[in-house]
Amino acid sequence: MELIARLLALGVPHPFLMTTPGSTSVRLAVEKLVRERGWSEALSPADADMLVLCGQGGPEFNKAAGRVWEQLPAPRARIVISAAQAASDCLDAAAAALRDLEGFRRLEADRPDVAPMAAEPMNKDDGGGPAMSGHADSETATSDTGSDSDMSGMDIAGSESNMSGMDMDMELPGGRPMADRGADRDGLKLDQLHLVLGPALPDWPAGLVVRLVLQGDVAQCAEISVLAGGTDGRAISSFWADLLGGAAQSEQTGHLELVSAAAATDSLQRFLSVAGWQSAARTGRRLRDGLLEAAVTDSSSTDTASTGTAVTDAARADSAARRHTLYPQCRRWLRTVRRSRLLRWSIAGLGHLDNGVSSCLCGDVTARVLRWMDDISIVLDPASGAAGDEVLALGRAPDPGQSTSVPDPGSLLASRAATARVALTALPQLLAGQELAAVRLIVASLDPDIEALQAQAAGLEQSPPLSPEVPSGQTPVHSHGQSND
Amino acid sequence: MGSRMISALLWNIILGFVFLGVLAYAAAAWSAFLSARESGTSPVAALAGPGRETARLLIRQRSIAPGADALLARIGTWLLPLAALLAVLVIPLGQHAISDLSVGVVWFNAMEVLAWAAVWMVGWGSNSIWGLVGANRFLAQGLAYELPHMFALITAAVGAGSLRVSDIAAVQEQPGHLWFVVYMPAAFLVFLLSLLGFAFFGPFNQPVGREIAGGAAAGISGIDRLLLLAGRYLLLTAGAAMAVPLFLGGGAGPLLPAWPWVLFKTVAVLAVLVWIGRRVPAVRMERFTEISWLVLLPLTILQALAVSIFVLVGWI
Repeated sequence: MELIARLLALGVPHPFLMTTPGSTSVRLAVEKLVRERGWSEALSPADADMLVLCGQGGPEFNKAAGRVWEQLPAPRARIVISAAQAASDCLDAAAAALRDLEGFRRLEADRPDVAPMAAEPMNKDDGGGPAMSGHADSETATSDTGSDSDMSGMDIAGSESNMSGMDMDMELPGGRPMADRGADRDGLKLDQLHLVLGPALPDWPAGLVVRLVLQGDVAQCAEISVLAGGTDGRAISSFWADLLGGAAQSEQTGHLELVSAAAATDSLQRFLSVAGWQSAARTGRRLRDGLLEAAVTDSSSTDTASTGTAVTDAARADSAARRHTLYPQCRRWLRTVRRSRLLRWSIAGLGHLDNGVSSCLCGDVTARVLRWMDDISIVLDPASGAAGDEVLALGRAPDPGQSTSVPDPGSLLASRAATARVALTALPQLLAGQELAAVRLIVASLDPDIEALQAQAAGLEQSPPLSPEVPSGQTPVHSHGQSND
Repeated sequence: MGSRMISALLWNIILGFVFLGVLAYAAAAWSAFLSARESGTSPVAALAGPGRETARLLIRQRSIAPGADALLARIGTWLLPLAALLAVLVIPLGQHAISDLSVGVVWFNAMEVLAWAAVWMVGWGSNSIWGLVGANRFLAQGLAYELPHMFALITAAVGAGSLRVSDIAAVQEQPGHLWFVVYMPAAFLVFLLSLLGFAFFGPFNQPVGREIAGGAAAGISGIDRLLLLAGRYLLLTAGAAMAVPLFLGGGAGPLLPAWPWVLFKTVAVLAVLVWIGRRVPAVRMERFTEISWLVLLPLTILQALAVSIFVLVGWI
């Protein structure tokens, strides 16, 4: 007993993060705290002891979260963090709960199934993303690929009856149907595997769900859908668009670029994670936190500047000092990433989008990644803005050189939403015929801002901003369905 | 007499395993140290990281997915560290290996190939799509690195004219002979590369890759996970230790006796491997296989040919 308590106290928590669209600020706060505390993020529910839900989600999200929760082995803790300010306290509470041996004893006594995963075949099914859908869970032939029987999970009751029906036929592993076969592109009959990416997947855009039909590890077709964000009556706001909007209003030069660099760093670190470059991704995450902090301090210092307090000077000096150490690190990091031949070789030629689509997304994965890097380097070396001018013109914000007009927050949101919409529309075509690893890289390189999409949609539908009817449930946005070739 | 020999053998085994374990922990701690530095947290505190993770995993519930073949997965998790322990039996720490087989090189190779089975069993047995993808990635990886790897091993054996690992080390220690890394640099580099491959470490960690939610390890927790993670570092360490007698002159070195030199060289190889593993992004197998078969394989064959000629001419 004593020993177990001691071992329990030694362990470093492994939180598993799930983010609802509209909760990017919470995710950023949690990621920062997790990094600073030296915790390590769990990649799958089996490795996690703490389920951290960033934001309150809709029913679909909660269902997925429920399935993930069932897969967490004991000892475990679950928290919902609705506001970035509360993140620290919530994580503290969860960490304390993880060390409470007596508490676990009581909980486990109440728990109906001691081995939760074995007793509840349902919880594995689909939706939960990394939620270990069994490989036997594939079932269904090509004909009813899109039907919900294979994807079950979305409808617990339906799949339950499905399961029991299957059980009668013969004994199957875990009472799950076996993989069925379908014709592949070479005219062979191969096993089909149904895999749902998102919403519970590390380094994945919040709210995005991609349903893949895999043969081998090649995606035969992809179906895109989007989870509804906060359904507790709040209108969804897009974190990055709001921040960019605020920065565009401020008189301070370079503030907009700073925010856009922070956003690019966030996307880039996620991409590097997906590309399997943990080391660079970790550095990127640290630098993103730094850039974001600098951007936020900037905006607060300009706010107070109008009131003319002495605090601003201190704050400014502080942020200048921080940049003095932060920027060289950013430069070094960017140089390493930019010069990596191995990275370029490994991502070259993937996910090509034509020029016509959207200037912000055109080109292949490499081009999009380089564009993020340009977004970052324009802050680090304003002199080298020549390359960056073009970037700014590409949708994030109007080119300051050409049009001196200040971009208003609305247009920034609209452009981010438009970019996300283009990305979602293009995804099914891009993903079909790609390897699973390439699928992840392509999605990470597009990094659609679903928040912005939903915030804009909410804004358009209800021009007076607040109104109860936020779209609930699953809103299949632009699901071009099977683009099976 | 017999019992004294047995107890001596037992001591050797224990000593060998302790060394292996300590070095593997050091590699894991070094890796945690570097990670913490990147994250901007205290690197020194991170040195205890692997130990704390061990404590955590020891008391965690083992997770079993519905329909999982728990037995298969658990055999796999045990097999991985076991393969590493069996592999070090033939590596001489100083003059003598624990069991100096006459076919030590082949034994090492066989043990390292056990990792294929182990990872595949874990991935398949845990009945998770990610596990399955990760397991099959490892097999693809094996197909890519294994042939060049075998030619690299054979090259060292050809140089010494023996498959006994201590013989190979002894040849390099003779006066007038250089370390094999000088005669066969390509084989050495390929060996290091494939070492990262069979320990699925660094750029070759895609079988347990982050983008597939941990791959082969996605569905396992508790002691199973501990064995898998530990087995990985043990394999890496065993491979690094094998590089020393094969290419780096075994216990050869001035002043000190043989065993500190072997240890020192192993630590150096290990540190370099862990460091290099972080400098580069992951290598995707569908792209690497081409390089492996079209570049590395011919390269190692040419290397073997060159070394054979050196032996015939009498340079080695």
